[in-house]
Amino acid sequence: MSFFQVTDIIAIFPHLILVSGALIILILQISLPRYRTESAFIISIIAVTISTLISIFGLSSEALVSIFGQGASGLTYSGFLIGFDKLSKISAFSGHTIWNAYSGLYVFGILSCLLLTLLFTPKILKDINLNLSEAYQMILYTGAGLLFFVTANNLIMIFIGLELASLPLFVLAAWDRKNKSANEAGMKYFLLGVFSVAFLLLGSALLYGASGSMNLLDINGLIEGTGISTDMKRLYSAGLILVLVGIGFKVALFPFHGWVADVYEGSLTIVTAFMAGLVKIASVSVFYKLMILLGKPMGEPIMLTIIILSVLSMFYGNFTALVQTNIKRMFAFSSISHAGYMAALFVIPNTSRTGYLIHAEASGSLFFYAWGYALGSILVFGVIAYLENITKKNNDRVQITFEDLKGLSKRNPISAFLLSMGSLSFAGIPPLVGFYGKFYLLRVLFKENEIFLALMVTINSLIGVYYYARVVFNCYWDFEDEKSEEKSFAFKSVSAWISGISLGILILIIGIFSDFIVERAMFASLNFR
Amino acid sequence: MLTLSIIAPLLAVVIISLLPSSQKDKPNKLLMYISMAASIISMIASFVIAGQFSLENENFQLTETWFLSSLSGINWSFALDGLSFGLYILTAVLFPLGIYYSYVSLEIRSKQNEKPHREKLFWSSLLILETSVLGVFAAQNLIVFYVFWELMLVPMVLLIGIWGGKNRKYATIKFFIYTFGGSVFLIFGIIAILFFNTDGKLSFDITDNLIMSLNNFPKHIKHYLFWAFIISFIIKIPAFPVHTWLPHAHTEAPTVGSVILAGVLLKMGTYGIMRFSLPFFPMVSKIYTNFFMLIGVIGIIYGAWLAWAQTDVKKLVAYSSVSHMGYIILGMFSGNIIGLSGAYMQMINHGISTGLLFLLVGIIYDRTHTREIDNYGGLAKLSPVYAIIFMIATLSSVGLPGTNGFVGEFLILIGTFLTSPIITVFAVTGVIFGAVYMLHLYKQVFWGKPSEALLKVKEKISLNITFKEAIITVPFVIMIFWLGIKPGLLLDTTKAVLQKNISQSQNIQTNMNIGENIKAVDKKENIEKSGEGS
Repeated sequence: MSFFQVTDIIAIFPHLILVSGALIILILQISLPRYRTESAFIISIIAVTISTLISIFGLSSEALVSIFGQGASGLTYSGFLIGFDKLSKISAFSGHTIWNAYSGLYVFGILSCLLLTLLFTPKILKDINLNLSEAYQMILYTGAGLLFFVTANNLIMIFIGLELASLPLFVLAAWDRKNKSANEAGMKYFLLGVFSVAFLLLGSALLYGASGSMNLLDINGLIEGTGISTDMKRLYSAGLILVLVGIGFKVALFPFHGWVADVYEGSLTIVTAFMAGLVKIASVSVFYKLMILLGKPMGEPIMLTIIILSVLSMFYGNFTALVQTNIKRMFAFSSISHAGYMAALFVIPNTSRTGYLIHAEASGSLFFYAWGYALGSILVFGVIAYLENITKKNNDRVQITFEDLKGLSKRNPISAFLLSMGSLSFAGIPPLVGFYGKFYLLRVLFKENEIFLALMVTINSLIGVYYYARVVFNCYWDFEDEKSEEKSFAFKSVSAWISGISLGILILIIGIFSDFIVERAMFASLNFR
Repeated sequence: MLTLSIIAPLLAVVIISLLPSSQKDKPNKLLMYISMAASIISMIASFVIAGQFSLENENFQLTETWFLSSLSGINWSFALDGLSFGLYILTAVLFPLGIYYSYVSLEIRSKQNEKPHREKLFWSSLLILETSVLGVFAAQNLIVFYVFWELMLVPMVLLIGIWGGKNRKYATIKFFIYTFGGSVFLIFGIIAILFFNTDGKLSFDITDNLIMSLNNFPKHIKHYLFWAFIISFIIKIPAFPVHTWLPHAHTEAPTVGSVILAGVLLKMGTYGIMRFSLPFFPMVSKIYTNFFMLIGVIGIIYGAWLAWAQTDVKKLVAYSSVSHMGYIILGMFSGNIIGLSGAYMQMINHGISTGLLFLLVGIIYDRTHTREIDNYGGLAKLSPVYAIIFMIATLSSVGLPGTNGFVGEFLILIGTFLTSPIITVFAVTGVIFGAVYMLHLYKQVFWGKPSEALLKVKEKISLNITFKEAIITVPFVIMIFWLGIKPGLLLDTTKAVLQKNISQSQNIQTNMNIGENIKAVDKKENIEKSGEGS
């Protein structure tokens, strides 16, 4: 019996490509005499692109055989576009990591967002004279960590994936090291992140104590089979709650939102895009998975708790975002409210009459909403990052406020357009992707008789539209006191242009093809275990 | 063809956004040519559609389907029927005129040393607005309808917010909050239809199946859904208690914005009621008939009184809109074919006559830069052709026999009288008030001695209407008399649909009554049986 099996490697193939990209950067950096930072960017782009392509198109069994030899015969790595109908599943590392259609879906979501965010990065790092190749390594490690996080089938693997994703992000948050608020943000993110992970670990330990296993599917089997014994039920509930609290920190649900505003505001804006886009989509996926696999013994109480947290998140996020003057803080608080919207879908499997099976439609809608939200926030924070660069010439550190946006459409028409588009997408104005996300969300809520939650989502969209529209108003209207600076172009680098334009197009047209995506996601969710 | 006419303005927006922006003192002709070309293409396409349109067909026709989706129920298909046909053509005709007028207005203003201002954005907003309005009228699916309905907000906010008058920000925010607040209820109602649907196969397509299954919903649910739909529509119309955004939006909007707003955007609300509220919820709307008729009548009289009291020409015309829309509400809720076709007629009429009035006010405002009635006087002497056209518009608005306004109001009043004579008595007073404020306006502005303010303006620029401006008004004048003398032209297009809708809702009502009778009989029998049992 060999230490590694081929299936192990295939199951974590995209993760391995990212990690090896990071290691290649590391080796080249030490060994090449005339090493340039640009090559780090190029290598990381290549690594992310390859793994994104794999997650989109998948690998057929012939391709796997030609790469890995005969050991891989009979396996397929199905991608988002091609192979989800095959319902393939690859269990690796004796069940610690499971690659199946559900996790493949989120692998695709994370990698596509990672690619788009990465394209924004180099120019911004150059402008603060900190374009070091370590940054790209950190980004790749973060990506790999998130992939491990979503493919995990074991509480320990969840912990490891989360740590692998978070530790580089702690560093990246404080990347602008001469800046006080960035240091503060990094420290805050580190302390609260570690604090939340402690909850996760303690919860895992308790769950292990109650069920005798760390493996999610095993615990689920136990629940569905003999059930948790009554004297262990309290232990189990405490464990589950602690685990959910740990991941709730990353989702930024209401009582665990404390870090969001300061960290989003303080850290380098492009890193904020990572946190808002990538970390959220990954942790939402895992939260949902845990709810379905482990939620049953908790029954009604946990469902009620999630409903309350969801509604509170919506209201808290929206009302605090209403009064912000700083754009980044506003989007940070609004991300709490979006977490609330997504959390409304966590409730669905528990009320489904068919028991604790996955609710395919809710899961599909959740993916679509989370992905649309991630695309929107990458666009918004990417544009803000470049705006900061433009205004930074005069001051040491510029936070973009609503005042700064005045007259933006004259000075910088393209970034005004993209910023408004992202903002309107968040607000849920058709035909942008945010509207379709809300549409599917409301549809599921109505179908499953959650009228109260549907009403709350509707009311909160109404509140939210006020501050999102303010961005558009400030960008486009004429003001007497607006700044008359020279005209400037949005992005001063080719890669950022590619990313910005493709994000704009995606947000504009994905809605029309939403049916296709949600159908894929629903189908993938059927292959959940 | 239908898709071409909807999408052509959007393609022009892409072309415009790729052009380099230039800051010159004169308006950019190229941009005008592109936008004119796009809007004329969609107008010609709509005429081609008009040729193919069959008057006997009571269902959707000329359907063009693009994306069908079984999962979400959002089918991207466009089609017209008798309800949307007239409004669609009106929109397609109104936009090229508005676009050409904006260019002429820019030219005249540039002669007075007013630089054109962010032209690319201006033309783009107008064209996106055209696409969204055409899309609303051609949508065959509730969600597609909602998509275009909401899309309309963005260009409108830009148009009022950037090129508007002094108070434009206040007006825009008010407009935005009112309309978006309404639309949120609309989307809630639309998606809620799915929830109460039991067979699980329902899509958002507007079909007879949808109407039938809607009527099988529990009674209180139908009430909630009815209100979710109608709140959005009466805000858009705007009917009496929620009309307050309209005067501000109209006054602050640039002329072309006002023309489009009065011409077609307000019709989206009434169209929504005719298309959705009445056929979807015939029982419920029957219950609320008196309430909405009351709202209509209050709108008529209150709007007329307010219009009378205005000192600002544009505000006066804006409040006259409130009054006119009151008639349409009255006609729609009368529930018989005379009132409904009158309401439909009035929708088109109001678009033509009030659109023309706003256009004329804009034409003179370009020169005088004042809208205060007191500053005017004796304009007939200074600008006789203008005075004649304004007189025609006024008479059409008042409803003089021979103009289109008369036919619409007359049909509405007959239709309402059949349903509720008392309300009609009050509504008729609106006709008199209408004549009072419009003729009062005409007297103040055009007759008497030329005012000093006007004479001052005359030293700088000729007050006479130019040939280009006169050309723009010609189609309006033709439509006013054509529809006034031969209203059948319009009424024939919508007759079949209205008849179908009315008979359908009567069927539903009788079915419901039978059902309730059966239930009542069953109950009685049960009681009797239990009585016997005990």
